[in-house]
Amino acid sequence: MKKILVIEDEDNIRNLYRDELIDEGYDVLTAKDAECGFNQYVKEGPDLITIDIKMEDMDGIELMHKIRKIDKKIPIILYTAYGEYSQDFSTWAADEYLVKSSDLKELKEKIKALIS
Amino acid sequence: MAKHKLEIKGVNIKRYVKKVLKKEKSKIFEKVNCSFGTSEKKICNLNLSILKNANNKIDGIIIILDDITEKIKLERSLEDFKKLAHLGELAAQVSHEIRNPLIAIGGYARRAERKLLSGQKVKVKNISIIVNETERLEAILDNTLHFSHSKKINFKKINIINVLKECVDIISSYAEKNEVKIDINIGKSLPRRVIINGSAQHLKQAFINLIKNSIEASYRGDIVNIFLEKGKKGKVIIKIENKGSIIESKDLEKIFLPFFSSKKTGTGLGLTVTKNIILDHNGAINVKSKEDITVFIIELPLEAVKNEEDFSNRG
Ligand SMILES: Nc1ncnc2c1ncn2[C@@H]1O[C@H](COP(=O)(O)OP(=O)(O)OP(=O)(O)O)[C@@H](O)[C@H]1O
Ligand SMILES: [Mg+2]
Repeated sequence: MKKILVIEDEDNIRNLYRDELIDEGYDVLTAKDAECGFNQYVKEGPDLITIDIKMEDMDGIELMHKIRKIDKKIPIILYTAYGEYSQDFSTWAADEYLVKSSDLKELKEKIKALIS
Repeated sequence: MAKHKLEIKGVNIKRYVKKVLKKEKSKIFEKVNCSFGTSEKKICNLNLSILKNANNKIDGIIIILDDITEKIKLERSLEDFKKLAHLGELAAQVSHEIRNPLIAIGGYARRAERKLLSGQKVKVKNISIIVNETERLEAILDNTLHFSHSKKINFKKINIINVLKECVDIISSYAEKNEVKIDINIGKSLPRRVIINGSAQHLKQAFINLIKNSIEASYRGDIVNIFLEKGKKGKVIIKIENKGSIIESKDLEKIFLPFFSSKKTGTGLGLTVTKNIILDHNGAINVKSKEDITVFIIELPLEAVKNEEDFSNRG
């Protein structure tokens, strides 16, 4: 089973992603902030990571670069509640960039395309 | 003084002249509406200067009308512009804050729909998330409405002592639930009625937000203390004080910003609304948080002169 790490600081959105991705047949790990997320990444070695850009402790882009320094290949999906970063070159190191929505169809499709 | 026919079209100039003659003192009347008999409305400062002769008798009056219409228009549009900029900032933040609960609500609703359509069960826990997030949205909207209302404050003479007592009544059941006691301490040197010019409804909202925060920061069995004290000349001070978890110094400047909250279900708008209301009343609000005591200090201007006398007589 493929392992996905969801890093998201909004409790109920994190729960939603977990519940929905489990239904899709993935093994889902979650982290509520960037630090937790980085530790989980090191410990669990997931197959794909989704990161919320706006988090309290560190922004998601910074976290992505931290992970990218160690691992050039792991698929990373960045997302925000707003489209404001889509033109921002600092997000280019991500494999996909998404605007958060209550409809997870796009997220599920992108995950599938990246790790199956 | 000899009688002269004094007339300026569209300005009740006699009224102002009478006032000045009665007090025998020159005066500037600010922002007087003048039409000058045309349809165009003008705003002027009326400068009435008394001329006296060697015997200190009034010889005449010099009237200067200073048309300040354009200046005022400019001032107003600048104010509107500032308000708009502020509103724009706020709107961006509000939509940010609204989007997260909406995604959770929509996401879990879609999930429930899919499960039900395929004959599967839906977890109560998932529906509770929809309900809770909806409540959070409602709380955000309730509080943001106060931003737009705050400009329409209806000022009246009110007794701040009664306002505080009513606040305590309203919030007493919440205090009981949290096993916290609320005490009102009214300074001995204060009169029975401490009158300020304001809106009881808005001030109640402001104080209740503060008392509610104090209750939430307190431990069981603690007391929230409200103090009403004499302030500097013409001012009254209200303090709301609690023990319990303090505010870290790095957060002290952030707590009044919209959406700053350390609480799971908090909107972070409580103090923003409170501060707006106090500022609308020409007051000030400050906070101190040290050792294990947090105190919010509010200063409000008293209703003019008469009550100041009251104050010093009793003090
Ligand atoms: N009396 C207090 N003691 C300790 N911390 C406080 C106190 N009052 C406010 N705070 C801190 O300031 C933050 C902002 O307060 P505010 O009233 O604006 O929002 P909130 O209480 O979190 O949310 P809501 O008002 O919607 O319940 C709180 O989350 C808390 O961390
Ligand atoms: Mg509050």
